[in-house]
Amino acid sequence: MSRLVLILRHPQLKDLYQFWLGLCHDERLPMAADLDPAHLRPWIDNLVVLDVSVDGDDFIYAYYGRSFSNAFGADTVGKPISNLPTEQAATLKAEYDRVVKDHLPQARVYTADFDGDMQTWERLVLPLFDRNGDVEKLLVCAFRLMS
Amino acid sequence: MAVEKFQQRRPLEVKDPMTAGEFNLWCAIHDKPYRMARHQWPDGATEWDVEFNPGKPDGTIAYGTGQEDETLATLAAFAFMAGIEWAEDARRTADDDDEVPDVVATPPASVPAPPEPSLYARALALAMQAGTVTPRQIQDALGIPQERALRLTERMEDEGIAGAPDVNGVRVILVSTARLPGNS
Repeated sequence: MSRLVLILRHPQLKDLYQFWLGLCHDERLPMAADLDPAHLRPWIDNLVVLDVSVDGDDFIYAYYGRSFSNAFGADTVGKPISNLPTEQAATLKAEYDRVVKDHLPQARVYTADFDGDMQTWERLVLPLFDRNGDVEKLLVCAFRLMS
Repeated sequence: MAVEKFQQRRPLEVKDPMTAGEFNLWCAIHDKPYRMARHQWPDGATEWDVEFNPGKPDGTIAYGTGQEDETLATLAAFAFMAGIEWAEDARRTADDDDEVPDVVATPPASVPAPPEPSLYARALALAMQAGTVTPRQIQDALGIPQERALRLTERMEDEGIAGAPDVNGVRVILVSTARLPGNS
């Protein structure tokens, strides 16, 4: 695994990244099975878990944090990202494909119009591995940047 | 959209009661096709249910917790999952363990009766409740020969459920069961 370090702005994303790095000690790959939801409580409402589809060509929502479901009124669990609007699906798929291919976390800051309100968010995508060393799930966390 | 209006959880709140989100995250992490959701009855009353295959065409409600309180409902949901895991394990054990009598009869498709737990499933339950396991403990509890009890504990280690034995032959259970009712 690369030792590149992500530069993050939101303090809770920094904490989550450090938590994930902690799972990498002794050159281990962070595995989904290693995670205990109790340890993820500080971020639980702002998390998304996606399963990498069997053919590796899509990503299916397995968990959608309460902050997002309340805010967007969306129920995405069980549905693939390919069901999203084309442009959004393409952006997310490119990002997730990169994480699966490189075995490395990704982060980005983006600004978008949410019902007339321009907001800036920061999101972090973390890979979780199976016993074969393949990425089987993605742990995504996002927070709004208020500055 | 205003996510900031939601109170964010901080490390200081780690002792909070369990939430449906925690159950749902546990299911997502462990590939369990279940999710807690709050449903409203026509009379306005609400109840937390456990959905099976949420968001999929064959999605359905697998279990009604009968609880309006989220914490109590989450406990009930974890208890439901404990039963599901027990039944799944009993089926696996009956399939691959030729020393266990065929106690898991295939029920008719219309009768989803849970199978009777196998020796291994019963040994697992005992070990998880105790937090540690020894062949003697299993031998006494299940009334089986020592050699058989030893193989059951070795299988737990092989499957990553129990650690290697210490100098006294005691194996520590490695799988977290703190979330399950009765094991807190």
